[in-house]
This record gives sequence, C-alpha cells and structure tokens, in this order.
Amino acid sequence: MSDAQYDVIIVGGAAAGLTAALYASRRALKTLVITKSIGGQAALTPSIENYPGTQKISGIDLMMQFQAHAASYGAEFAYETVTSLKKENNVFTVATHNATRTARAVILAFGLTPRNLDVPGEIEFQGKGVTYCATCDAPLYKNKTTVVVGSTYEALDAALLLAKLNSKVTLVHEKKDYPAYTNLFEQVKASPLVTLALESRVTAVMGDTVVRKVEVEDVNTHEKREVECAGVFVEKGHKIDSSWVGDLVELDKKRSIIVDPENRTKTEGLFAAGDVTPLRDKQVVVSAGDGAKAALSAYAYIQKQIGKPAVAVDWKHG
Amino acid sequence: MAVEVTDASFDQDVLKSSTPVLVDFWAPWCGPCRVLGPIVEELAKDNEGKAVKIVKMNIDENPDVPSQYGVMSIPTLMIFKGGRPVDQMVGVQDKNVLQQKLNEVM
Repeated sequence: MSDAQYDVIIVGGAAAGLTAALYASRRALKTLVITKSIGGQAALTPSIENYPGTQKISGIDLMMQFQAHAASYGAEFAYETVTSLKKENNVFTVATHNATRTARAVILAFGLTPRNLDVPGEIEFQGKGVTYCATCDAPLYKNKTTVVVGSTYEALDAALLLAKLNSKVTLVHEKKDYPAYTNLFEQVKASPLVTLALESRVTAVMGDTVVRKVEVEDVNTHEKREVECAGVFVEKGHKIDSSWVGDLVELDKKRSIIVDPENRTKTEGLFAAGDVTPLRDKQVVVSAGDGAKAALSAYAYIQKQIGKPAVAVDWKHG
Repeated sequence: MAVEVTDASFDQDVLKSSTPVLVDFWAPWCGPCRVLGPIVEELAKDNEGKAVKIVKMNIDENPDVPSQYGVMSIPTLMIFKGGRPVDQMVGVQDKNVLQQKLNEVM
C-alpha cells in the first residue's frame, strides 16, 4: 500500500469541505483540509435561518462551528492555495505555493471563486483597492470615492452599502438596466451618492501604491474616460475555477465538476462535493450533505484499497 | 497573547519597538479576521520570549494608522522592523508561513 502522508486531503473549507472533514476524521482517516479561508459564500451571509436545528446564526459562526467540530475529531487545516493536483501509482500529490503533500484520496470542495474583471491593473492592485467582497471591505471606504462593477444583485447591494457609508459611488454596468432587480435598481438610482455609468465597462485599474482611478469605456462609442476612486468593488458573480485540476475531472458546460451519485469524478479516488459540482441548490444544508456523502465514498474507496470492508455506520465519539 | 495597539500607542508599541512587530489589522464584522485571529494568537504564544512582538489593531476603533499604511482590505498583516513596514499580507495566512516570515526578520 502507498505511504501517502494523508488518507484524505480536502480542498476547500466551507460547508461541503468542512462536513467532509468531519465525516472523514470520524472514520479515523488522517484528514487535511487545504483552504484559503473558512466558510466560503456562507461566511458572507449575515444570518442563516434555515440550517436545521439552529434557528438563527450568522454564516461565519456556523462555519466556524463546522470547523471546530471537524477539528475536534483530528482534522488538520492548512491555509494555503492549491496550485496543482496529480495522481501517480494510486497516490495523489497536492501542491500549494508552500508545500507538496500526498494523499490516498482527494475531495474537491472549493466552491465558487469571484469572477475577475480581467483588465490590466486588477491583479496588481488586489488588496490595494481592488476587492471582491463589499460585505468585508466596504467599511474601509467610508467617506471615500469608489467604483462598483457588475450586473449582479451584489453589485447593486454594494453600491447601496457604500452610499450608506457616505462613499461617492460610480456604478459601472454593461447593460442599460438591471431587469432582474428592478426594485433594488430604483433604490440605487434614487441615491444622491451613486452615479451610474451604464452601457460601460472598466478597461483598466490604475494607481501607484494603491488604486487611484479606473478607465471606463462606453460600450457603444468606445470612448474612454477616467474615474478617480480609492476602491474598485468587483461584483461580477462567481465561477468555478478548476483549471488547476487539469484533466483529472470532466466538466459540464458551466464548468462544474461532473460526479456520479456517490460523488466520484472520472478519476478513481478523486471526489467532488458542493458548489463545484452541478448541485443545483446553493444551500449550506445541501452542500453539507454532499460533503458527508463524498467523505463516506472516499472512506469506502480507501478501505477497498487497503483490503478491508467499509464499516457501515458512522463511528461514535470516543 | 497578541496585545491590542491603538492609533495613540502605535508609535511607541510598533514604530519605536526594538524588535520586529507583526500587526494584525482586523475588525469584528470581518469573517476572515475571525478565522485568522486564533492563528495569530497561537503565533503569539509560540513566540513568547523571542525577539519579536505580535500585536493586533481594531481598524474600526483606530482609523488613522490603517489609512496611513494603505490598509484597503482586511485581514491585513504587516511586519514592521526599525519603524518601517517590511512585509504585508492580505487574507488568512497559515501559521507556518507566518512563522517563517518572522524567522526571516528576527
């Protein structure tokens, strides 16, 4: 049998990944979660009122409880970004910027990633004015000038949140209106602090040590102008960024990782759960259930690998 | 334990410190800061008695220093040595990575 460092490495630390970590570690599998942070999309939700058994809790509190629960059974955590995944002789090698680790099985549960602007200056000024989370960073732009970019509900919400903080906001959107969010758009239009740059797109982010301005292009005339700002809030929705997984998985049209009913991908020993899969409902309880399923499938796979029968029930504590 | 520093104490506690200082800029409403907090506390414990200081600053209560050093996203971690920032990281960081960075400046 292999001499992998871990039985299971789980990539992603939100509802699916943390539940997978709980189930895997309760099966006495040596488990590592590699994640950028804890909680993913759920952590940004101020109040979750539909997680069974808990009437009302903030997203970050619920997610930290998930983490503590998994850690109490021995799951380890590394706060890193995975850069590549390979499989050789039934052992997976998971590389990050900081380390390379091996595992018998891997569960992909890294959820959704904010969609980029894909313009010059964006990457350079990340953390220096370019942000993807209004909930997290808006208070840092109190009384400052900001630009919000996007066609999403979150873009409108960010514009209103910033205006409440007395930020002078320019909302940049490629279309004429927001047909899906008419009411919210009316509120944005009514705000004296929000200037609309409709049928426009951001084509560059500029600054020195921090963001100073963006270049905005009219999509019809292609005329360009500069808008001064201290912050750029990118609210263009989310994508599944599975490029680093390579050809170990098959993707559908939306670039979701295709899995069978037991959360198996096309590569033996590689599983996926939660929002990276075509799972329709983006809900904590759904992702958590999916993570549990993936961990139990990984457990069954590892038991088969080492020639032991899979125990049919979840172990009791102690 | 990571000591809380303020706009008023920053000069004395950080800039004039004889040892390098790691500052965790955080706020109570920031989820990732809640994840990073215990990691920074563990780091402070691991480095007790060593030639390094680990402190934190609530940016809600202390707007001046974060603004002066261009803290635009939190959590932000900065390492100061000899009164000047020598490293800056945004987002949750692994304890091992932070320890390595401290070892480099100690």
